[in-house]
Amino acid sequence: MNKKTVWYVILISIIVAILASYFASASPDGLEKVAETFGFIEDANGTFGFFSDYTLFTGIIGLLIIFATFKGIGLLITKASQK
Amino acid sequence: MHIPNGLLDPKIATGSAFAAAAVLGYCIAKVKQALVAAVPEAVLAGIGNVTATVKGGIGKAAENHFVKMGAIGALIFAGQMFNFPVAEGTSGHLLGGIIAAVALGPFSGAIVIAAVLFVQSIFFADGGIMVLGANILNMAIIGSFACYYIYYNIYNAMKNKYGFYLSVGLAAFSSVLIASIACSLEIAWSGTVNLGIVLPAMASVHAVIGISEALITIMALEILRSLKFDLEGEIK
Repeated sequence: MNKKTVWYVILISIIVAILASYFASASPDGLEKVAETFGFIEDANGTFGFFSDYTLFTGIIGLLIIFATFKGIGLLITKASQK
Repeated sequence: MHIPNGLLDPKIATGSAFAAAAVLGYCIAKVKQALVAAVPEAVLAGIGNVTATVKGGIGKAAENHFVKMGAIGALIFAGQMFNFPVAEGTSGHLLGGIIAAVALGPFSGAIVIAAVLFVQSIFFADGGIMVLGANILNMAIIGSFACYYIYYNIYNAMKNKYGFYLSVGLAAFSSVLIASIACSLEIAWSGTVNLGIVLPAMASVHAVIGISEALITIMALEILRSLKFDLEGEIK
């Protein structure tokens, strides 16, 4: 497997995020819908998040955070093992 | 299927967090073991002196593996943003547990899904922080790690291309359905709603979402394969 493969996967992720930001359904998901139907959605209380919602911008930031975190761990291990 | 804060009582939230942490710890130990075990091959190949090879070997294998974990994590995070309509006024989205487990192996798969859930909870308030353990238990431990063995067993019984599609599809479908059942149990045991009410409602809507999960999972793995992504959890 070469390095290009990883960048293709990242590129596809960004494309999916772009498509999602335009075309994703705004309807509640399965659990939210069930909670609404049976009236226990009121038990849920909102929590603090740094971003209010998934937009094109925050979505791409989110996926890059995940990629960068794992890449960072990999780099740290390499560095540590080369000492 | 991300449970928000407030739906689980502290006992269930804490209990599921301990269960999730225990299995996740096991997964991390297994990944570490696998990366270290990758070394003797390099030593046998006789490159450089043994000590240097051992150290460099861990580093390179680990770096490649972690980059792959990051890429799959990014892909699944993006995929989970894409809600699609499943019924009147209801949507579903990818969970990606089987994509992660087949692409990276079940141990790394669970770790990646847990990381996705962590970022969603911290940055997007998608899934409550207080119930993160339950969400990791449902979608990473059950939906990725445990359901990988559905693929593993069915594929081993068939060992052909149709077996791959069937086993991956069934594993992906089951991962969503079983995670939704676990989610229902946690909510019901917390006294939020009766199990007899929440379980059939959750299971029926997630059976529909599970069909999409199966199709997306097969498609995603085929795309990864065509990009020459080495599927580490695939049975050769």
